[in-house]
Amino acid sequence: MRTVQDLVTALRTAADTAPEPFDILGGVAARRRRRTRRRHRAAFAAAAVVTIVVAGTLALRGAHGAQPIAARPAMPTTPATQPSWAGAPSPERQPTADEVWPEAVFLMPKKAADGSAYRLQTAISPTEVLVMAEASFEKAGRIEVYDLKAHTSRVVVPMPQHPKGYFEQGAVAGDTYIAWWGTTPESPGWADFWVAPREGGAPVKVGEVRGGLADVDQMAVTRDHVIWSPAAGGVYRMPISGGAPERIPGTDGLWLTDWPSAVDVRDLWYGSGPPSSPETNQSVLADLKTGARKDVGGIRPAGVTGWRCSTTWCYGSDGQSTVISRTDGSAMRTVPGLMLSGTIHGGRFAEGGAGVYDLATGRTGQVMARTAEGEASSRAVGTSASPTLVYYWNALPIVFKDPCAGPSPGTQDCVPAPARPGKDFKVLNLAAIPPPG
Amino acid sequence: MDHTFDDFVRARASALFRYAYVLTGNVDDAADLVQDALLRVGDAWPRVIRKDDPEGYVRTVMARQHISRWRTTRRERLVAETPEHGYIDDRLDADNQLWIEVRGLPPKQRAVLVLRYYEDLPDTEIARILGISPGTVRSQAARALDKLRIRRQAAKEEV
Repeated sequence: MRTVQDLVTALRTAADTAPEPFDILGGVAARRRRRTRRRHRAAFAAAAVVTIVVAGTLALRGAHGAQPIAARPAMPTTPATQPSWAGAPSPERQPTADEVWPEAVFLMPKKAADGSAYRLQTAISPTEVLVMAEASFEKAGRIEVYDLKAHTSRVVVPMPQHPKGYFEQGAVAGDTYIAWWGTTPESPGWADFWVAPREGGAPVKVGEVRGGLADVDQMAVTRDHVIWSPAAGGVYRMPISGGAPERIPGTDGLWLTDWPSAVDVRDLWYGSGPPSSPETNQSVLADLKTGARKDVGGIRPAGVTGWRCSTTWCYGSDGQSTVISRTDGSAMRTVPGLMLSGTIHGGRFAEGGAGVYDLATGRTGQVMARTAEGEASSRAVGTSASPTLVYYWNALPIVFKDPCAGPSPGTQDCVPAPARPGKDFKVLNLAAIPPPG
Repeated sequence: MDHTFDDFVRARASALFRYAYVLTGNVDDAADLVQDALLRVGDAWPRVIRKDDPEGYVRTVMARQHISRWRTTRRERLVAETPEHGYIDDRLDADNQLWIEVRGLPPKQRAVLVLRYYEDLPDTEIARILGISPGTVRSQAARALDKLRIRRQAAKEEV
């Protein structure tokens, strides 16, 4: 006869000798993308609804001088019976974006007059945002420009009809054109590019690409080209007047950010494969118009990682603080406890978890839907295929419904689902924040 | 994006996978279960991280998903009869034989055993996690122990 101790030992042994899992994090990220592609008309929605972001809470706590909290615990060795992930402290009340930048936060309806849902892409002026209006799951939408001050919108271009399985992706704006690309997520390895006049007009198909070139991360449009960088790096362009795609010389290992800038880190990833790790340092800032290549690694202070530079500002982390300087190395300062991540938006803004941080002024505004009690929940980020200039969230307080709160919890998953009452978003338009000084 | 969630997954994926492995009894289902649970939990991460024990919460979601998945499909996957590892040590071999039999149990019975003898949880807590009564926990555990020819210990079951 066996004993209970035999069972305990058998279970432990089985667990300890279980084959090492493959890349679980990568698997979860891939599933998130796939699921989103199924649920939404466009795959970019994977980046649209961002779940929080406790790092932001921590970052902002740090900004108040509190002890910074390590975001990366060492691999614990405690037995499985004693889960050891430390709970995060409750967030403190931090100024919201509307308090910090009242001139840059606007109310905007979630839906167009005909009921189409708005998905924001980016800002194209201090008062205008580029939006995709999505009629329904199957029906192609249109691209509109919504005026945040006048509360009016104009249709830029109706989306062309496509066979089922085709999805329009994030739109970008240039001086002359609006551009977007489309893909078929269920049969990858193909993409097409489109433009329409910025002032409005008919859509024009620029061309199609296949294979690695179709694995688009970021995009831009000029007066004569659509420009993009695929997941594997390199920056390519295709003439709007028609013609074959070509690689822009000297762009091996670079990814597009804000045209004409390209960098040697991959932070904006919508194609396949992982982004650059947060610790990777950027060392190149290229100007694809002039061909100039700036070494921004030389000004990175020793011991600082996660170095990122726009044409005006750089930041990195020494593990306890964020180190910020101008791209020429001047005006260096250290902000204890602040944690920033990712690409720099609009030349001077970086995401610090629940907030957006202005590298130029040192001000932080939280961009987050909240409950009436002030609990942060979620926000959306513009889904443009360029570093977006808009963040938006539910204007009214959200409500969490806990399916396990009842007297007799069932076996449903107890993951609280937020309800988002009201008809408006609040939108932070980074292009409406005045330049410092 | 939400780096703290990524960090949590990086730090705890291995432990969660081992837990999923003993719950499901095979590698493929374990990987599925961990990823499904993390996908759901990731969406609600701000709420989860505010709890005292986020990992415990993830484990609860996993246990419930394991059970509800079985309820949905109402079928048990066939388990391989061949051990996945070759052992020389007799002790390990005995463990492995017992593990093979555990894998052959119905999912709910296996879940009760895993929660009780791997997670070391009291029956009341197991009842809460699985959404069944403590009486059902005891009867399921008793049935499973009988099948495995394990002598029941009063002390353990009184926890």
